[in-house]
Amino acid sequence: MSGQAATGAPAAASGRRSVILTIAALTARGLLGRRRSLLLALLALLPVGIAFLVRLSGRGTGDETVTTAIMDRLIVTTLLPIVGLVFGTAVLGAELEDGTAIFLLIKPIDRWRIVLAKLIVAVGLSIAFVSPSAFVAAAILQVGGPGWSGAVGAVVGTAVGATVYATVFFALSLVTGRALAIGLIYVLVWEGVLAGLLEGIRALSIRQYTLAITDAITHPGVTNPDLLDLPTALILSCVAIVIAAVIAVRRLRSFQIGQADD
Amino acid sequence: MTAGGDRVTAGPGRAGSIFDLGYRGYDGPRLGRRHAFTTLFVGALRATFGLGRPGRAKILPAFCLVFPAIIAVIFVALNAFAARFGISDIGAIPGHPEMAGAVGVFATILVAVQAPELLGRDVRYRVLTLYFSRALLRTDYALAKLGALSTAVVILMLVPHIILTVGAVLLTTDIAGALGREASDWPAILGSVLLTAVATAAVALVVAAHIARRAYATVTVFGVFIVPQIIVAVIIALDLGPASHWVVLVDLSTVLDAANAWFFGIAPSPGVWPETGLPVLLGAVASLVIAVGASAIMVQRYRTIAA
Amino acid sequence: MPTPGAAVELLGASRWYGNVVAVNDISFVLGGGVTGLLGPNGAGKSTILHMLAGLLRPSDGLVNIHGAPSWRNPAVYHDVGLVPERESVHSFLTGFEFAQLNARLQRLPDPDGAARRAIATVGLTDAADRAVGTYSKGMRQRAKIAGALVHDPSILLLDEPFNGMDPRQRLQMMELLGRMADEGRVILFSSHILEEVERLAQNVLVIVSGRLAASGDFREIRRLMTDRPHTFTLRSSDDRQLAAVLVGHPSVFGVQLDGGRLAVRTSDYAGFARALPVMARAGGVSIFELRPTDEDLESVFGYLVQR
Repeated sequence: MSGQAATGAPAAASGRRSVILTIAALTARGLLGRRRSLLLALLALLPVGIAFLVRLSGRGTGDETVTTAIMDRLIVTTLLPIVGLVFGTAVLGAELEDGTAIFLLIKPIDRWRIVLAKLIVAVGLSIAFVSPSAFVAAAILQVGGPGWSGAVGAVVGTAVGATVYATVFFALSLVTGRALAIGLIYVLVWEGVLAGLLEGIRALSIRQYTLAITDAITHPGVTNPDLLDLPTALILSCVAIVIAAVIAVRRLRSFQIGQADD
Repeated sequence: MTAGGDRVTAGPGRAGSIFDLGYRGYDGPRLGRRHAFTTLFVGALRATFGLGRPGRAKILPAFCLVFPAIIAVIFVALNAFAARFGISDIGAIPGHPEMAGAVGVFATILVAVQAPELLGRDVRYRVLTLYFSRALLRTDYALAKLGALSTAVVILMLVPHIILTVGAVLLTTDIAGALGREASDWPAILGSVLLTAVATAAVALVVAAHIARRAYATVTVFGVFIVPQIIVAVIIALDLGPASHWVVLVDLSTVLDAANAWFFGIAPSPGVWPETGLPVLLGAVASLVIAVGASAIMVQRYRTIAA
Repeated sequence: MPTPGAAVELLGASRWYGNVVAVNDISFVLGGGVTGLLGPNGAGKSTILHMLAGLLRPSDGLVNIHGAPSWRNPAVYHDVGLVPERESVHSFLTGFEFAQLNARLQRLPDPDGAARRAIATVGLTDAADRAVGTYSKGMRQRAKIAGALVHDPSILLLDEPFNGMDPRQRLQMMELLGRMADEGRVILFSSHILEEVERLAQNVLVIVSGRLAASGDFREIRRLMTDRPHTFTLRSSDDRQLAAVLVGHPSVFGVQLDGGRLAVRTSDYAGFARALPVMARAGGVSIFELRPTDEDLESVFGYLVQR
C-alpha cells in the first residue's frame, strides 16, 4: 500500500469527474428510499390528484380561483419551497450535523467540487419532485387555455424556482444550524406576508421569480403589472444562485466542526 | 506499598466482600409527582422561548413574540388615525376579532419549530427513560409538554390583544367607556386564544411525537397546517354540492377562523367558510374536537412509546 | 520557529470558543511511532486533533502538517487520515463500500484494490459486504479506520479509538495501531484511559485543562517530577543491611522490608540514584535488582490533574 499518496496527479484525469459523481451518487442514495422522500412524493402527487378531481368534476378549468389555488398556492407557494427546503438543507447541512459529512471534508478535494456535487443532488431532486407534477397539473387544468404554454410555463418556472430555493437554502444550511427555521420564516413571513404588503420586497422573493417566469411563458406578450418582468426575474434568479453558491463554497472552506448549534 | 494497579486482587481462594463506603439512603420527604410535573412544565415553557438556551435559540421565539406586538401597535395606530379623522366605518379598522388572523402565522411558526425541539431532544439524548423512571407518569410528561407549548402560544397571542386594549384605553378621553367596551371583548378574546393555542400546539406535538428528526417534523407540521387549507379552498371553489362542504372541517385554520367568528359574533373570513353555509358554532365545536383529539393521540403516543 | 521536517507540529497553538479557552498555548512536534494524547474529558484533546485535521481554525499559533498549515488546506489530506470519535459512517453502506468511497474521494488509481487492502488490514474482510449499520461498535470503529487508511497516510489521527470496545476488540486495535506504527507512520490517538495509553504509546502528551502538562516518554516525565515521592523495589545480597544504610540518607524517608524485597521511598529521585551505589558499596551490599514501582501513567496523571 505504499506510495499511493503521491499518485494524485495521474488519477486526476479520470478522477476529477468521478469525485463529483461519487459524492452525488452517495448523497442521492442517502436521501432516497426513506420514509420522508415517500412522504414528499405523496405531497408532489397531490396537485396532480386534485387537478384530476377538478377535471372530473367538469368545472374549474378556466376558473381563476381553482387554478390559482392549485398552481400558485399549492405548487409554487407550498410544495416548491418545502421540497427546496428539505433537500437544500438535507444534502450537506444535516450530514454536517450528524457527523456523516466528516469523512468527506477530510479528503483532498476542492471545496467547490463538494458544493457542486451536493447542489446537483439538491437541485436535481427538488426539480424532480416538483416540476413533473406542475407540468401534469397545468396540462390537466389547461392553464393558459388549450395548448401547452401553461404546462411549459409551469415546468420552466418551477424548475428555476426549485434551483434558486434549493441553492439558497443549501447555502443557509452552511451558514446556520437553524437553516430550517429561518427558511420557514423566509417563506412564510418574508414571501408570504411582507412581499404582499411591500412591493419592493418582490425583487427579493424566489416565489415572485417563479410566478413571473411561469406567467411570462404561459401568457406570452401579456404583461402582468403585479409581477416582475421576465428578464428581471431571470437575472435576479441567476444572481441569487451565484451568490448562494459562492457563500456556500466560502463557508465550506472555513467549516469548523462542532459549530452547528443544537 | 506495592505496584499500582494490583492492590485489589480477586483471585481464587479469596472470599468476596462488599465494602461499606458510607453511602446512606434517603428517607426524608420527597417532592413527588406534582413537583416533577411543574418542573417539567416550567422547563418546557422556558425552552419554548429559548430561555436557558444559547442566544441563537432565542432568536426565533423572540421574533415570533415581537412581530405580533408590532402588528398590534400598527392596529393601535390605525385606530388612532381613524379616531383623529373621524372615520366611523368601524368594519374597516382592525381590532380584537382580526388579531387571530393577523398573528396566526407566528403561532404556526413557533409550534412548527419548537414542538419538535421540545420532544425530539429527549428522544435524541435518550433521557425519556430517566423521566419515566421518576415519580412522573408517562401521561404527565405528555401533558406537561402540551401545557407548556399551549401556554407559550397563549402568551404569544395575548400580548397583541393586551397592547390593543391598552392602546384603546389610552387613545380616548372617555376612559371608563373604553374600559367597558374592552372588557366586553375579553371573554371572546380569552376563549378564542385558548382554543387556538391548545389546538395548534396539540396538532404540532402529535406530528413531532411521531417524527424523530427535528427538521422533518418541522416541515411536516408546516405541511399539516398549510396543505389542507389549499385543498379545502379548491374543493369549496369547485362547488361540488352541499355534501362536499363538510370537507372544511379537516382544515384547522378554517375551523379556527370560524370559531373566532363565533366567539366575537362576527362573520368568518370570506372565501371558504361563508360559501359552505355552515353555522360558525360548528367551527368552534370542530376546533374543540381537533384540540381534544390531538391531545389524546399525543398522550396515547407517550403511553406506549419505547423509552 | 517551525521545526523543519516535522510531520506534525503545534507551535503556540491556542483555541478558544468565545471566552472559554479549550486549548491554551500548546507546542509539540511529533515524529514516528505511537503518541498518546492523554487527558480527562473536556481537556481539549478533540480540539487538538480537530485542529490538526484542519476542521478547526487555531485561534492563535501554528498547527502544521509537514510544514504547511492544516487549516483551509485540503492538500494535507493526502498525508493525513482521521478517525473521528462520533459515528460518522452512513449506516446503509457496507464496510467495503465505505472504504471504496474513501479511496475514490482520495482519487486513488485503483480504489477497489486499495479498499480491499484497507479492509484486510483492519481484519474486516469477512464482514466487508455487510451494512455498517449491522456492525458492532468495534467493527464500526475498524471500518472508520479502514476508511482513514485507504490512501496509506503517513499520519493517522484517532479520537478516542477504544471507546465502547470490549477488551478483545481493544487488544486487536492496539495490535493494529502498533503494527501501523512499525510501518513508520505517525500515530496520534487520544484517550482518557491511562491503561490504553500506557500499553500502546511510546510517547505521551498529557493535556490538563487545555494546557500541555507533560510530554515525552512517560517514565521521563515521571522522573522530572522530583517533588513527589518515588518508590523503588530492591533486591540485594543483604536487604536488612542495605535498609539500615539507606535510612541514614536524607533523600530517603521510608524503608520497608517485605519478604525478600526492599521497598524504598524517596523524595529526591536524582539524589537517591546518585547516592545508592555509594551507600551500597559502603555497606558491603551487592544490588541484584532495582525497580521503580509506581511508574504507571495513573500516578503520573493523577499527580498532574491534582496539581
